Amino acid sequence: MVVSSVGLNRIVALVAADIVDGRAGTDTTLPTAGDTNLVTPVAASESDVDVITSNASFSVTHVIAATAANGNSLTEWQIRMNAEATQLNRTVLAAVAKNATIEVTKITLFDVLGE
Amino acid sequence: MVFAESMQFGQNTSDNLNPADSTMPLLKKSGEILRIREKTSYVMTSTLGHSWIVGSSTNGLVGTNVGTQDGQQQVVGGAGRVESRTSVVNPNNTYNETFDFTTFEDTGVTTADWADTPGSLIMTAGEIAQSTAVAYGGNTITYATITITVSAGSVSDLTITLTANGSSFEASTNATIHNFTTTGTDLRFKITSAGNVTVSDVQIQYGG
Repeated sequence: MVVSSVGLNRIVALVAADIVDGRAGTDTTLPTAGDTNLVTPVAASESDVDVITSNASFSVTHVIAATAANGNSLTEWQIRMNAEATQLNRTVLAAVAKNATIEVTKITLFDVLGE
Repeated sequence: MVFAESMQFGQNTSDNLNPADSTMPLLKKSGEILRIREKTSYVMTSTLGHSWIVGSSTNGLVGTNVGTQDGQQQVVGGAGRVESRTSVVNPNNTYNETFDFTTFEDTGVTTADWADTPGSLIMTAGEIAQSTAVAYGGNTITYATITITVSAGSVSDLTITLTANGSSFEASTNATIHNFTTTGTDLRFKITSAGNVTVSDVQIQYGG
């Protein structure tokens, strides 16, 4: 038995189509699988994401514009799915001091494996 | 007796003359698992340069404006912008490159075909594949193990080097732990091929 490549690619397409947006926040609590949301979200950091698929992989790019979320030290990030904004993942990264002189881009790569 | 979980206990099979025995081997299930693997995340910042940006107090004016961030006349597009990666992290300190994207290709050095065919790094003799930072800004990296999987050709045709500080590349051996002479927080790999080799996967486990 084997999971076929076209099946994996189809699953990736379905997941990718369900991804809606990304947000950032200012908390530094390490993520766990039980997390359902950012601890301290910054509403202005919310924006649609670009999702690109390739084979059984997909990348999610979240850009925070120069005019958004300024004055915050962004540390936690999330990718959200569907109309209910279900969290796909939460990531804690090194702090970025957001101000009007920079845009911030966060990219995360995923793939779907059949084992 | 209970069912054994596998054949590993070497159960004996008797002939039919012996008393009935409830012992029987269970075939190990061949499970098929689908899982989504989160790979690398990175964050970068981009300066505004003299790009025209709606709503920007410096770069958002309509008409002549040299009061942009870099002082040049603003234009539509990404002019004058400088990108800087602030962090690159991997779950469990393990970077997995499957060559579906060029996200981590150092295009200034790489001559091999990185993800030109999705899922492959195609190399011919003399070609180079070098990554940008695949781990950056975290704890000091003192060791790493790179494991390369090829779908054509031989790993023995590849010269593998790693750097932990972004510049001091040190010779490494496939699937063997490498302790860095020069440690750092900017992990990159470089592969040079002596023949025709197609790489399907590069995994780097690192720590410090």
